[in-house]
Amino acid sequence: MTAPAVDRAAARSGRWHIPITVEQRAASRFLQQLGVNLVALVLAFGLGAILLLMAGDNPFDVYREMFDRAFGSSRAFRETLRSTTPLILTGLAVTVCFRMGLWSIGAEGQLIAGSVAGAAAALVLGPSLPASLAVAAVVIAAALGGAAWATLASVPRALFGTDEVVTTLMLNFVALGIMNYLIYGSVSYWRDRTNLGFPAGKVIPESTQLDPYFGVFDAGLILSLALALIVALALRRTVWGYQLRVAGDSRAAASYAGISATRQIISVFAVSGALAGIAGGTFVMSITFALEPRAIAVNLGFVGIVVAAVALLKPLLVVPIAFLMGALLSIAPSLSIFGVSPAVVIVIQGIILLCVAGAQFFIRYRVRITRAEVGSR
Amino acid sequence: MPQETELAVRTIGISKEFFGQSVLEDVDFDLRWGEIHALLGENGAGKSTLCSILAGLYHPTRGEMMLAGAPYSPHSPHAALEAGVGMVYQHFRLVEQMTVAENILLGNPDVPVRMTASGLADRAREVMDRHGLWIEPTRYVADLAVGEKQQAEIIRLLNRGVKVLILDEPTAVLTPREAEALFATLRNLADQGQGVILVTHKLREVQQSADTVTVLRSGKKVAHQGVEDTTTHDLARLMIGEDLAPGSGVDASHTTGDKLLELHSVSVVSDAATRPELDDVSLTVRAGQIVGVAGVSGNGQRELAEVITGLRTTTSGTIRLRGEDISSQTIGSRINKGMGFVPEDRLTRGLVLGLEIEDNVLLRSQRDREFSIGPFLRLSVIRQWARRLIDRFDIRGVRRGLPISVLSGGNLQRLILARELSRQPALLVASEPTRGLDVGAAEAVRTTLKTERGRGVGILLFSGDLEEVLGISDEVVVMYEGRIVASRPASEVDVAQVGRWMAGLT
Repeated sequence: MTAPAVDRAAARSGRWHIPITVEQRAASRFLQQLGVNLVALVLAFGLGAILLLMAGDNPFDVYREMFDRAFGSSRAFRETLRSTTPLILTGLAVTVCFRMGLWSIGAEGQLIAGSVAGAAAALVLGPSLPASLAVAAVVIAAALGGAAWATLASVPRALFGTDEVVTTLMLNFVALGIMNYLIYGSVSYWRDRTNLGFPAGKVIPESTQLDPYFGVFDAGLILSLALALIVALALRRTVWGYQLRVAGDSRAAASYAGISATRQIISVFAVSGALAGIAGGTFVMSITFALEPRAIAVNLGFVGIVVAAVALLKPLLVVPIAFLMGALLSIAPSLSIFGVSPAVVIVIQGIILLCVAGAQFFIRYRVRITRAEVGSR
Repeated sequence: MPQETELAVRTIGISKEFFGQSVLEDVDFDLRWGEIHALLGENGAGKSTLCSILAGLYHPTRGEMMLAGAPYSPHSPHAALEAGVGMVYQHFRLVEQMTVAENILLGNPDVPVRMTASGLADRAREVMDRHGLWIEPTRYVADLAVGEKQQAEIIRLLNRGVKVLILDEPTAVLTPREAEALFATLRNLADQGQGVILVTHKLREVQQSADTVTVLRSGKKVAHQGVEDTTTHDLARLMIGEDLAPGSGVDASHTTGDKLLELHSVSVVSDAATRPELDDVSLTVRAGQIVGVAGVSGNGQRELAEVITGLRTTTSGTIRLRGEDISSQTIGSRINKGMGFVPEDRLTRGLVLGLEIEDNVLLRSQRDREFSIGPFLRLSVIRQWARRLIDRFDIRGVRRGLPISVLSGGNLQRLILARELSRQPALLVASEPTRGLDVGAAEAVRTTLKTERGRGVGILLFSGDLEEVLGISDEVVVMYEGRIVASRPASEVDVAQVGRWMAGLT
């Protein structure tokens, strides 16, 4: 028997050998997670500094300015938290759908639907109800509005398998069109008929305008934090959340377990829509105080997708990511005034997000450099 | 050393640990050129791990390897392939939408960037001629039978210059005839001087096709000998570590009870143009009875199991459980009425691989009062329950916080059985409950089924293993082209008779 020739050089070294192995971590500790994230932020600011130097700016000045404008004063901090609230909610909305493998990108439209419904409730019920009830009514109306809008996409998805990516995306434009029509295209109930200048929304009664506590955060933020906790608990500890996780991992296993796909899809979409709708309702109550299309349609629903993705679809992780994102969003306009090119600001935002997103990989996986030679005797 | 070049592969003291658990311990393994070397062992014995190390997928924790007398430590499957070691996995690495020729030549550095379809086909033919194998190169892989796909995979590896061919449980997916063809192919390759490693837990295959056998047990090598010098009985003892209990046939001591499941003229027609999936099927399962369904795979067994458990709807006919018509009831209500189901697709349907063990023991019981109060899950009860099942059914390799995809195939199968049996079903529909299990584990499953029967459970058993069906069933029904062609007490039929029915003969 002759031995077939074997390329001995190739046997010794693979051409594409990268000497690292990646293993999933069993569990990661809080301090470890914190550490990895901090390293990511340091790295991001380092990379950003190089970029700023290349653009002719002093990185220390720019960073100090960025910090001041995000957290430096109670006014600045309030702005950051104001952007954080809707991002937590849209981030949660996206998380719920994506966890079941429903690729809804309709949070934007649902947020708008929630704003319209919430503003209507505020205008109708605000004058006659005590403040706390009025606010609750707005939240409920906004949730129902968002859920209803999501149902327009979920029913065809559940019954006929219509692609939810297409329907939810298109419904965003329909919602935007309707909101624009209500204010700019008609003399609707939402429009301020006393204002003869540029069309504007009717200002909601004061009882439904949220005042910040300590001048920093308002009830909307507390509500969004509570909802993050509720969503996290619902996913982990309820039958509904369990069925969602099973269906998200394997549709075949879900049907085997007697989980009705139709019912689960419609309920998940409704919850997701309600969360996005509440984002719209609180946005109206704490920022715009009226149905104001140009202030409301600022892509908070789309940014929610980024938040959810960076947060690895973990509801509790959505909160800090939304906060970071909120800070980045709130400093962008003011930094451009400070003299830094808006393009550079966007790139720095991108670098920070990229590094934080990358850090989540290192939290879930252990990466080791492997020895080139394996064993020796 | 002259004798070194006779060895294709030599491993010296290979050990591998996962998460600090040892799965291979100090294994020495030699493969000669021109031999078919069976690697025999139970599920979890370390066969797949050893092969994955040889194929560059894993790196050993300790130990060294030689290939054709030279040190060998592949860093990746790609490096192993370059060095001449290729593995045929149970799930083929083929692109279904491409032709056989395209698949064979895919990733081959010698193929020019631009090449016509006929040029590719000619190249592929050349490769096949060289090795005496043949599959029409212009056919699409999606249209091939499983056995042909496997052949295409082998040809693909041979074309990449593979000299050591590793096959992981290659016959698990094959019909007996396809398996024969595979063994002929492997013998031919060995005669050409290739080294062939055949991973298996089937003793018959070892006797039938291998020259040499290495037996692994719990990660350690327990034997290495020529197949001629050994018997099936010896191998079984080496593999399991103790003497097998003699095969127990039907015990006549138990009595059968009332009618549990009744199917009356059940048909399933999904496409009027083709033959019905199920055609006028009637059968009865009584309490305390095992009804075994025999048949060549694809003759309606899957559809029958699905229609009973509610995954598929009937076109006509009725299904009764304890006298109640359940034909149009949901899966959930059938579960509540005491229907257990071990599905054939255990990885995609029977389990949720991305979730943890607690989530998996809960599957199908999530609405059960024991595990939920209103909308809330009783997590601590579920956790305790999971722990009890792990102990009672000896499920190994569970890691807290990690999805169950880290478990081995045998342990996953045990997990499904544990879950379905622990629910104390009135009726158990079990599809291929022992497929992929080693001798000892399969015997344990059969014993469990018999115990359940003794407690009054009615069992409908689907199995491709005819001996299993005849061995433990009270009643045997044979399916052919969606119909039940025979139904007899198991004591009145023999294998040859059932085999003829399965082939559509009378």
